[in-house]
This record gives sequence, structure tokens and C-alpha cells, in this order.
Amino acid sequence: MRLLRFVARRLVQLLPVLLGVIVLTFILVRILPGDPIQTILGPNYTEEDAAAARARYGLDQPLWKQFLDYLGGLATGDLGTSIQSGGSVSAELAERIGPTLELVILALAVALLLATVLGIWSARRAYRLGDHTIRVVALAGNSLPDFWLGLVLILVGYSLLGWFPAPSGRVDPDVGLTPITGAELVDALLTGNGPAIGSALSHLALPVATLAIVITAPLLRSVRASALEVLNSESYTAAAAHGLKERLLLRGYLVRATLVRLPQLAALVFGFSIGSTVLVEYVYSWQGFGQWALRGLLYRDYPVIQASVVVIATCYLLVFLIADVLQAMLDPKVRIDG
Amino acid sequence: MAEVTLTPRSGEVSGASAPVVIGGAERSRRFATTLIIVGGTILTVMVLAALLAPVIAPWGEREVDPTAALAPPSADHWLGTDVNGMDIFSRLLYAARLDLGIAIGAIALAVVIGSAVGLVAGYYGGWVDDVLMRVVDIFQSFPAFIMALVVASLMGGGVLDLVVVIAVVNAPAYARLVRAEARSVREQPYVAAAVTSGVSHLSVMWRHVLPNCLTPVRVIAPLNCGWAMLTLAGLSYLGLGVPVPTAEWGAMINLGSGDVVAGHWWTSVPPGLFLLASVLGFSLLGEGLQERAEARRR
Amino acid sequence: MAGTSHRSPAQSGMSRRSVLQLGGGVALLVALASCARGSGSAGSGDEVPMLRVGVPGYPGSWDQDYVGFDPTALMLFKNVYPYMIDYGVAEVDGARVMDTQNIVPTFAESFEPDEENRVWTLKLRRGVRFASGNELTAHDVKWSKDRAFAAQANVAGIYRTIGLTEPDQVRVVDDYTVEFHQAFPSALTREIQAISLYVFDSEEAKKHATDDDPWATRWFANNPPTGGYFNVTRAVQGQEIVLEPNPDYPGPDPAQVRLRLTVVPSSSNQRLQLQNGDIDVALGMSQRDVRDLKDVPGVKVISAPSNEQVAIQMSVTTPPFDNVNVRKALAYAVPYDLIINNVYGGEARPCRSVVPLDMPGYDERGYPYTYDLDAARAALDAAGVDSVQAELVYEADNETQQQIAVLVQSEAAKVGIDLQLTALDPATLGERRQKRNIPLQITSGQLWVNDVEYMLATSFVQSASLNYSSYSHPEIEEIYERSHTVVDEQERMEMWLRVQEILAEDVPWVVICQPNFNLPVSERVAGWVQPIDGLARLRYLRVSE
Repeated sequence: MRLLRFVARRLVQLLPVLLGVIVLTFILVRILPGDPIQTILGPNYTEEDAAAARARYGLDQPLWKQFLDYLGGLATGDLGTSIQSGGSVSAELAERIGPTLELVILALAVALLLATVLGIWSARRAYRLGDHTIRVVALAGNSLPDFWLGLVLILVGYSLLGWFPAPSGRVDPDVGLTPITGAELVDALLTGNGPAIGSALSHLALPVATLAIVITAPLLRSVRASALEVLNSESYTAAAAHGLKERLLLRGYLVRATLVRLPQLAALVFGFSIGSTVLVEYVYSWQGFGQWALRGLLYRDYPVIQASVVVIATCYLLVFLIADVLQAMLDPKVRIDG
Repeated sequence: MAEVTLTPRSGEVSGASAPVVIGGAERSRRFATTLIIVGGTILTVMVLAALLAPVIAPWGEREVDPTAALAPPSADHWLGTDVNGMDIFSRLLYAARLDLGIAIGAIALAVVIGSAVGLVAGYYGGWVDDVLMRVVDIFQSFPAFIMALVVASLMGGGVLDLVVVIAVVNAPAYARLVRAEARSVREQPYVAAAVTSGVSHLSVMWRHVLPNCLTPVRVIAPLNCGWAMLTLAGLSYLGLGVPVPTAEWGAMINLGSGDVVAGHWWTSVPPGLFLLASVLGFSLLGEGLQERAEARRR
Repeated sequence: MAGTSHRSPAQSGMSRRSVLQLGGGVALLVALASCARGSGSAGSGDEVPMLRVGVPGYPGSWDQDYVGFDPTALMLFKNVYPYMIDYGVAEVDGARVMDTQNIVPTFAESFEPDEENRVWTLKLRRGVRFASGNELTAHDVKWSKDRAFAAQANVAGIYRTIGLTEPDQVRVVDDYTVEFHQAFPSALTREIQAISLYVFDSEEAKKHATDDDPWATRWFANNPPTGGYFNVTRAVQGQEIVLEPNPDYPGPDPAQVRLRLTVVPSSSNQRLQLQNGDIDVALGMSQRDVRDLKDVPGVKVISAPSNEQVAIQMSVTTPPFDNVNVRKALAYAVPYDLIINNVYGGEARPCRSVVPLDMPGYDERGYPYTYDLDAARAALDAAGVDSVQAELVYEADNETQQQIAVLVQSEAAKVGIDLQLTALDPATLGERRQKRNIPLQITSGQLWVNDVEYMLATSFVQSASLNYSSYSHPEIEEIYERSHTVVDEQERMEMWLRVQEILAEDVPWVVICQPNFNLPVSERVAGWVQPIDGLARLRYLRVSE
């Protein structure tokens, strides 16, 4: 009950923020210099041609009318028509978001796993050489420009060693994968297509590694700090002194206690990644959401920019909500010294 | 939205008096000092390089050597030249000015904006807090590169824009941080006493609340300077950064990224390493400061 | 009246050649058709060899009437839309290039004018079918051109230059005959129609039309057209497109290879994949990546002179470039040879006129400026100024233009011309060009019609859409108007010489050079034909084993 009320309160808080993002985006894209219509007419157009094209996309209407139409569309899930392609923005978005989510979620999963294992390991050997090494290495990873790391990994992993497939596409076209969600690995698993699973994984390896290397450090430091606190707490020392089995200690106390703070941080990292994968996508020819949004931006494809900002913002806000809820659920139970 | 901060919350460490590792606190302090010294040294070297660029650099920042485009390292060009015939080594030094300057400037601006917003929100609470924090949410959930393009277009393009962009992207985190601290400080008896004794809100905030809020900010800011440099490099890589041919590490990597595959490593590897070293310098310094702050708390 | 006469010898040559080609084509067509029938199911295409092509982007849309300027899309359209007539092929210095003087019917049987050169009749072949099985008829042509007029975009704009502005001017005579009634005769009709006469499957389209959307724009945005040289058999948004030869193509030079187009945006990635044998043709590689590929084993670079011209357009209405001497100063300050060597690795030709090399009428007197800093300083003195500040605009993401801009900036600074470099994204560039408020801009482009009249129409008369210099000269306007009706070759050449003399004196453009076309391919690729408009016709590609 407490939890439900909590969720409801957070959702209510979300709405004005989303509305704010929508209004801000709507205004900002129109303030931007550059005319979306210019890019879809050939060079030999007349004023009438331009006016006709404007009318086709409703850009001849007064701003408030455009905004209301846009809001009305949003309410019914219609994100408008792309000025560049003439296709439905929702449909394009659906095709583009899967690959990006797949990339970000896998990278985050890998980073979380690494952070948890290494963080606890590091905390148990606190202030020894192993601990220091891990922390400095993670920091170094966090200090790498992701696009540069991507270039280096491609050069080594694909060009020199030949261990990974060419940085183009997300699955070998010959495996005959039927697209369902657009996230190749998920589709391959859903259809039970063995070769496609292998191919999708090998295509994912380098981009996921790139992203994971860059985002592991903050997670690791959080896990290590939490674990250290638990290890230093009276109740843990007491439990250890009572001769609880090592494995039980590790599982029952340490791991769970350590993960309390992780959801929020993971949410922060997720939000950061989804907004910035465009660089990694570009380097790996990963035709995902970021590239689509960037192209929309360069061509001032208003509906595309609006949709991508709203989607990123919604992802961000929802993930935080989920993180808050998770934490609220985890927290009271695991307080070891509570 | 959650009150997320990147610092561990101090209140949660409760009476941890018996460290599992004997001498942990001492070693922790030593490690922190090492980190601070190493990070500080790296940054000092970078700052010196930036300041002394006109003295050390054999070539000008934008000087073109028409006879040597994409020339490998030699006595003339210590780290070779880029595709335009500009000297890599000299540009690396000049770029340090811009990269360090923008990063530090942007984070300073972010701290100022973020602290102001967080302070007001945390101090007054209530609807002021609600409204301000929702605005912070809006900015935080807005994608950085779209923000970058908008700001650049509105301000006309230039170095100052990038300072503003990166500040706007980073300010929300500080707003949250300061707000959380301000809220807890606000509850302290001496603050209430000051208010009831007729001291103005502004002066209470300035004298009593702000100084206490800035402790975590001081620790976090160096780390953020490193990220700011990465953001700047990323923007440059997308072509949204400094105007060509200004020397900037991200822009240099971008310009040289195509050369690596042809075996011309010197155009993009050195700026990548300089960028890595500087960010690492900030990270080490930040990590050291955090470590020391935590050790002190214990 | 208006003359195609200067082109007629080429035409007769064309028909001879096209007959020969047709003969070869029919034999192949039979072979292809039988193999397509015999295979039936998936995995069968093994008999048709496959080439893998790297392209820089996925087409923004499949709808040619509404699409923006998207080079990948425009290139694809040339291969998947049925074009009724298209350029022939000529042999130049051992390289095969598209021949603008020789336009041949492909899906059509013929396309000929009346005596006056005003009414043109398109005769269709019988039995040509779209993938849906619908026959391509005069009604499809009519529907498609009505759609183009309704779109009020690309083709509608181009048609204006040959006096076609309304749907009524396109008339169906019978199921296989369409007439185009131009408002005036034009020497350019054949060239304009070669790039405009593409046809939709109107029967299929009508199924997807709604009251809101009578021209089925939503459907065509997402569904590839059929009936061209190739059919699209697979299209994964943002990733790859598979093209199979269209067995129903009735004309010369049918495609003989399957193509898998993979989207690889980064030029260096394309290079890596070509070197590693993961792609065969790299269609999106930058000049500098191409440069040292020639020595890489397994890779060859197809190189051909091209009519792409790189220039700096100076706004003649914006101070300080409204002063002809300032324009001359910049023209003398540009390091032409350095650019050719450093930016293009020597793979470019110096151009001594705004009329591109290889265009009939080119004359060296058209651009008498060379790199000469003393002359530049003298010109600035003549203009009465010590120093000049200006903005030089180039396309964002265009590495080549960026390099040129940097070199020009560096040299111009030496004579006191201080240039600020600005990279503009497509939308901002479009808007500022439309407002004509860019003082200096680097442009690079190929004229789709290889004729000075077309060049004037697009670039040097007052209303010209590519006239970013806002240049106009009464005599050039007069010559342009006169040229519509001048048939005599000699007289036209004289007019073009006069045009170049005027432009040499006025220098609205700094003509930098004409870069060669370079295409890196794997060794198994053969049969490339150099497109005159930069849009690859993939049907000529072959595999040599």
C-alpha cells in the first residue's frame, strides 16, 4: 500500500516534467536556424512549391495550433510524419529503438555484473594492491573517450586479429533472421535461430564492450563503498564472529546490502548511455536510435527531433521511477545495522 | 524523480568502528594522497603545457606546412602533421588551453548555477522546491547533444557556447547535491536561530547554509571536469564542437580517426592519449579527494 | 526551331550501338529469366553472383517525388525505378562513362519530338511488367507525372525549364503512347526527361491511396518501387538492401549481379571492410581514404576524369565581395596546386573556366587566375582596402571541403584576407542559401546536363537556383534567352566564349579544380560505368573471377 502510494506520487510528479520537456522541445526546434522544408525540395522550387510542402506538414499553421495538433497526436500515440522520409515517425522509432536498447541494456548488465563481482572482491581486499589496481583500471576505462576506444577496438579486434565481424550491421544477413522486435538478439532467441544468436552476439561484442568499459567505474566505486560499509559494520562483524558460513555471509548480507544503492546509480548511468550512444553507434555503423535522432537534428526533421527527445526523456524518467521503487522495496529489508 | 547524488550519503555510515582490515584507515589515507599527487602532477604538467604552448611549440596552432601533409614524426615535426599539414605536437599543446579552459570554466559555471538553484530549493522547500526541482528534471532528461546544437545555434557558435552547453548539462547534478545538503543543514538549530533572530534569508543562506553544502561539491567537481572534457570531445567528434581549425583534442581525434586505418597513427593516437591522461588526472584527483573525505569521516 | 540538331550525329550513333546492346541484352535476359524460374525458392540465387556494396547511409525515403537531397537515395532510385530513357555508355580514354550526348530508350521503345521540338512522344514497349504483375502502360506514365506535378517538388521544378508546368501537358494517346506538350521547344528536353521519366506502378499505388493521401505517399515512403533495372528483394531499415536483377527489364545492358548494399557510415570503416574483403565496392569513401588504397593488395581503384567542379562562390552583392578587385584578390590567393596535391593527392584537374572541362564550349580564357600572392595584394590595393574579413562556409561532415577551407584560410591570411570558417548542416545551409546571405561558400557539384545553356540556367542567370553568388549580367541574360532557339553549333560556341570572357572579368566564382572520380573496389569487380551525375548505375557491375 505504502509502495503503491509512493509510485502514484512519483507518476504524478513525472507528468509536469514530461510536459515541460515536450513544450521546451517544441519551442527549441523551431528556434533553431534552418528550414526543414528546404531540404526536401529540389533546387528548382518556387514559393508556391515551398508553401505546398509546408502545408503538407502543417507548418503553415499558427504555432499554438501546431502545438495542439502535436499534443493531440501524442495522446493517441501518433508522433507525426517525418519530413525527410514521409513515413510515420512511430514506425521508424519502433525500428530504431530496439537495437539501441539492446546495446545499452546489455552494456549496463555487463557493467553491473563486473562492478558487483569486482567491487565486492575489491572491498574484501581493501587497500591492498589488487584493490588499488582494480580501482585505477576502472578509472582509466572511465577516462577513455568512447568513440576513440571504439576505433581502437575495431582496429585490434576486427582488422588485426579478425576475431570479430565487420563493424556493419547487427547480424549476418545469411542466417535468415525474422525481425520481430528489431533487437536482433531478442529476435534470434524468440525464433530459436541458433546461428543468428551466435551472429548477433559476435556483432554485439565490441560495441557492448566499448560502452561497458566506459560506464563500469562509477558503478564499481558505489558497490565497493557499500560493501566496505557493510564489512565494517558491527552487525556484519558480529555475524562473522558467530561463525556464519562464508558463503552465507557473502550472499545473505554482503551482496544484498551492497546492491541497495545500485538501482539509482544504474538508472543514472542508463540515462546517460541512452543519450550518448550516438557516438558508439556511429563508430560501429550501428543503425540505432541515436543515429536516427542525429540525422533528424541535422535536417531539422521536427517530428523526429521531438519524438527522440520525448523518448529519451521518458526513458530517463521511467528508469528513475523504477529505480526508486526498487530501492524502496530493497531498503527496509536489507538494512543490516538497522 | 529521485534525489540521486554521486556521493555516498554520510548518514549511512553508522558507528563503523572496527575496520576489517587492520590499518585500513591509514592505508586509505596513503592511497588517497598518492592519487591526489599523481592526478595533481598530471594536471600540473598539462596546465604548464597549456600556458607555455607559445614558448614550447615549434609551430603555430594553425600554421600550415604545405610541404608536409600527413608527414610522419620527424625532426621538423616531432609528432608528425595532420592531413592539413599542421604540426600535431604544437596543436596538442595549444589544445590543452582550450580543453582545460572549457572543462574548468564549464564546471565552475555548472557549480554556480546548480548551487544557486539547489540552495534556494533546499532552503525554502515547499512549492519553490517542487517547481525548481521539476525544472532541474526537465534539463537533466534533455539529451545533451540536442541541447548542444540548440545553444550553439542560439549563441552563434564559439568557445563560449561550449562552456554554456557543458555547464547546462552538468548543473542539474549539482542542484540535487546542494539541495540535499541544504535541506539537512536547514534543519540544524543554529540556522533556525539565525532566522528567528532577524537575519535575512539571503545572508543565512550565504553565511550558514552554503559553506556547509559545498563540501561534497568540492569533492565531485574535479571528477566532473574530466567528464566535461569527454563531453566536449564527443561534441567535437560529431562536428558540434569548436570551429575548424581550432586545436582541440576531440576535434583532432575526429580529423585523424580516418588515418589510423591507413597506418597513420600519429594524427589521432596522441590527442587520444592526451585526452585520456587529462581526464585520468581529474579522475585520480577526484577519487583521491573522495577517498580522503571518506577516510576523515571514519 | 530549338536545336537538337547539334546532337543528331550522336543520336544516330546511339541507335546503332543500342541495337547491338539490345542483341546482347536479349540473350542474357533469357538466361536470367530461366535461372530465376528454375530457382524458385530461397538460397537459389547462387547462380547469379553477388557483390557487396558499402553505402554511407540508408535512403531517407523510397519516394522519389518527395525525397530530400539524399545522395544515397537518389543513387538507389536510378537503379530501382523504371526510367523510360537513360544515358548510353561511351568509351573515353579507356574508361567507360555515361554519355550525355547519347540518350537511349530503356523501358520505352522510343522518345522522339515533332518537327518543332515542342511535342515529344513517348512510345512504350509492350509486356513490360512491374513486380506486382501489372503491365507498365501509358496510364502509369500519366499517373506518375500527375503525381510529380502534385508533389510540387523535385521533378515539377526541373520540368519548368522545358516548359512543362501542368498535368494537362502530359496526354495519354493510347495504352502505349504518351505525349508531352511543352509550352516552348527546348534543346534540353532529352536530358531533362532522362532524369525525370521514372514511373510508378499506379495500379498498385491506387490500392494504398486514401482520401487523405491520394498519391499514396505514406506507402511509397516505406515500400520500394518495382520495375527498375533491379528489384529490391530485401530492405532492412537503416542496415541493408538487397537488389536482384529485374528479369523483366526489356532494354540494353541488363543487370547481371545481385547486390547487397550495406550501410557503413564511416569512411574508415568502409576502407577497413574493403581491405578485409567484407565489401566489394565502397561507395562512400572520402578522398583521403581512397588515396593510398592503390597499393593495397586485393583492392583496385577505378579512376576516371569527372565533370564535378569544386568552387568558391562569392556573393557579389555582399561587401566586401561586391568589389570585383576583392574577388580577384581571393582568386589569386587560393593555392590551387597545393589543394590538388594535398587534398586530392594529385587526383584532380586544374580547371581554367567556370565551364567544366569536357563540356562543349570550355575555353581556357574563362578563368585566368593562378596562385599569385603578389597579384592578390595588388588587387586588394586596387580595391583600396588593406584587409578583409569574411565568413567562408562549407558543408558540415564534408572532410574534403573542410580541408580546402583550411588551406584557403591559411593562404588568404597571408595577403590580409581573414577568413572565418563555418561548417553548416544541411538545413541551415539550405536556409541561408535561400536567403542568399553567405558571403563565401565552397560548392561542389556536377551538372546533370552537359551543356552551357543548362549551366547558365542553373548557375549564372538572375533567377538560377544555384546562383548563390547572386550574380547577374545583362549580356549573359540576353545570351541565355537567345540560346533557347539557337541551333547552329558554331554560333552556340561563340556565345559560350563570350559568356566565359564576361565571367573571367567579373569572377563571381573561384574555380578550384575538377577532382577525378575514384571508386575503390575489390579485384573481382568489373564493368563499372562512370556516372555523369555522380549517381552510380549499378546494372553495369560485373564479377570477374
